[in-house]
Amino acid sequence: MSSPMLSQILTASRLTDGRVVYFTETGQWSEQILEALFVAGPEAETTLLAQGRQGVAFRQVVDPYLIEVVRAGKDDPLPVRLRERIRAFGPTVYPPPRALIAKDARHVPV
Amino acid sequence: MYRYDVHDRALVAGRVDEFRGQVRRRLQGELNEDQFRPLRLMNGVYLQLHSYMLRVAIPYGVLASHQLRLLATIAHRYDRGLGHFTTRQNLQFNWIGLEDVPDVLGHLARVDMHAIQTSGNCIRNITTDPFAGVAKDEVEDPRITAELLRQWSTFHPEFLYLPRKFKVAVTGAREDRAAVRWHDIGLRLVRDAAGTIGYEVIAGGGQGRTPVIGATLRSFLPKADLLPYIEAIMRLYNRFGRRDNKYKARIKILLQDVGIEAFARMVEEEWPRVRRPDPHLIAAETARLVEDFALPYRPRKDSPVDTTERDLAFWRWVAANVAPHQSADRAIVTLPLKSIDQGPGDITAEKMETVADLADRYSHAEMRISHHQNIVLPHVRWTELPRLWETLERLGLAEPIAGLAPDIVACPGMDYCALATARSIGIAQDISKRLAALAPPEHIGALRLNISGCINACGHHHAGHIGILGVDKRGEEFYQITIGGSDDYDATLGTLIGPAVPAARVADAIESLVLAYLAHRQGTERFLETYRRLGITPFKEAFHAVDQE
Ligand code: SF4
Repeated sequence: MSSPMLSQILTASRLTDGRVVYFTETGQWSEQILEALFVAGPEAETTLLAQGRQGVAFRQVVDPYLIEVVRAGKDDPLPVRLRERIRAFGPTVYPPPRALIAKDARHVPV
Repeated sequence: MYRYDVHDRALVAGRVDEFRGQVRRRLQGELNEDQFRPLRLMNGVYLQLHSYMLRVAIPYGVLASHQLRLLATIAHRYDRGLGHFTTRQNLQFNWIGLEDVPDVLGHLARVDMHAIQTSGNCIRNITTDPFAGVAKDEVEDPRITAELLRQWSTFHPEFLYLPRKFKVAVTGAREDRAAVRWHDIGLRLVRDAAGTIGYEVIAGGGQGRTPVIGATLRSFLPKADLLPYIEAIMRLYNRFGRRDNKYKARIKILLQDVGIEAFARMVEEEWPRVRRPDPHLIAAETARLVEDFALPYRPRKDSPVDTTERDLAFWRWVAANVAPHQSADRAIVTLPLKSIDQGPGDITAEKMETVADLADRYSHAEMRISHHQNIVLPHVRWTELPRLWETLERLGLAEPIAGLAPDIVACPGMDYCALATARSIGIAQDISKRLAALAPPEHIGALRLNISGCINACGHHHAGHIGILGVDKRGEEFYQITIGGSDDYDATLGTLIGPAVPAARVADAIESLVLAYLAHRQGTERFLETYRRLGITPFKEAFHAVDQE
């Protein structure tokens, strides 16, 4: 079994709704950390950060930064820091009911 | 309840329109994040861990049932069906989209609500006693003062860019339920020797990384002098407060640098120079407010005698959650928002709707939010308490814990907050479970547990009888525990009991402190009294025994 590998991925908050997003291999921003593009080494990190700045310029995201992740098992990335794990997978307490995610409840009259 | 007039409505509507334009310009790229951040903060919008967070003001904690219903609808439609009541009597939505904020603010404006002065370096939402206007131990209803200050401070052009945020609390009762000594300015309505009502003015209190207990600036200020006197304090703070270092910018640091007596002299010199508001205008507005805040029924001196046999569970609930009222036939009922499976202060949209119905039925459609993150029904008839209790039991809102150990105060911590260094909610849940297994809450008695997820101290840990502060130690969550804090008039700052403990040991540590108290208490002595009598030593010993395990 190979030992876990440390890599960097690029994360940010989406401008329109503040949701946590990750920069993907196809150059998009995705809510799924599984789709994040992994890099290692200073040069690749610099390139990835430049993508983040471009995301800001294109008004896609706010506050992009790199985070460290461990790739274990079937390569599923796990952020090293607890804060980033909470951003990736949600609060650790009483997960808010998925059925009530904002966009699904737009029929509720105000 | 206070009703908005045409000026209030125009002001709030104007602000919604203005922010709608600012959001549009941000989304279209005319404003960048650096330009937009201060604008969104002026409208209560933060960027948090999972989304934008909108903080809605509940001025002096007074909330009508139709307003809570609207908050429920917003929670359903724009959030994830959840709201969080804060230690400053506000409500936070944690999953709001920026593009939705103008619409949400528009809906709020329709029920006279807004997010003005809930963030930024301005005079923040003014807080007060959740029992205001109905408390039996009250000198005067503090909401009248709080509302006058709200009108005076809202968009006051001189005080929109203060060195830092500025928090004011007002109380009018003998018991301090507003933590006035922990505020930048605390006002306490008192009587002088002749029986005239005025204010004790307290200044320079605050929590955060430099906790300071406010000192009395003036022991008696005539009511007519309130606005010019407060304006003088604000002017001096605006002029001399530090702007070079955000950690030294609060008024408490200025007061420490200058000294409270010297600062009091500066205020005495300054305030005669402040233009006094037209006394007729203030008198007329005060009269209007007195009328608006008057009880919606005639207070009675006699209470009905109820000889019906009732469950012990009912009386446990009455003893903990029901407080005496100015009118002998009424009671003040606290609904603790501290269920073990939710975070302190959290409430689902469904529960908001149900509580709004209960307020309609039992409390003249009125509620209060307490800085201990609970909801209060201020006008319940004694004769209706049994029926209300039965309903609350079914809803899980009748836990007999108000003011007792499981009535834990906690900030959202790292589960939501971008500034957090550790989690708070899970720690609160661990402690609740542990204490529930230890003894019934009334056996442990009055005990305030406060938890903050970082040094900013939104969970008021410095003022907790037991305070818990989450810190980061090389990437691990650790918790510092303090003991002996208080937010009463005789406020004290908690003392650190020992080295920080890892998350998994916090419940053990708290249990050891509670057991030490139970072993040493005399008679009906409360936790804080035992601590003050014995000092820290027996608690330290109990804590160290756990720390060494
Ligand atoms: S105390 Fe810290 S973690 Fe808690 S809400 Fe305040 S800033 Fe966030």
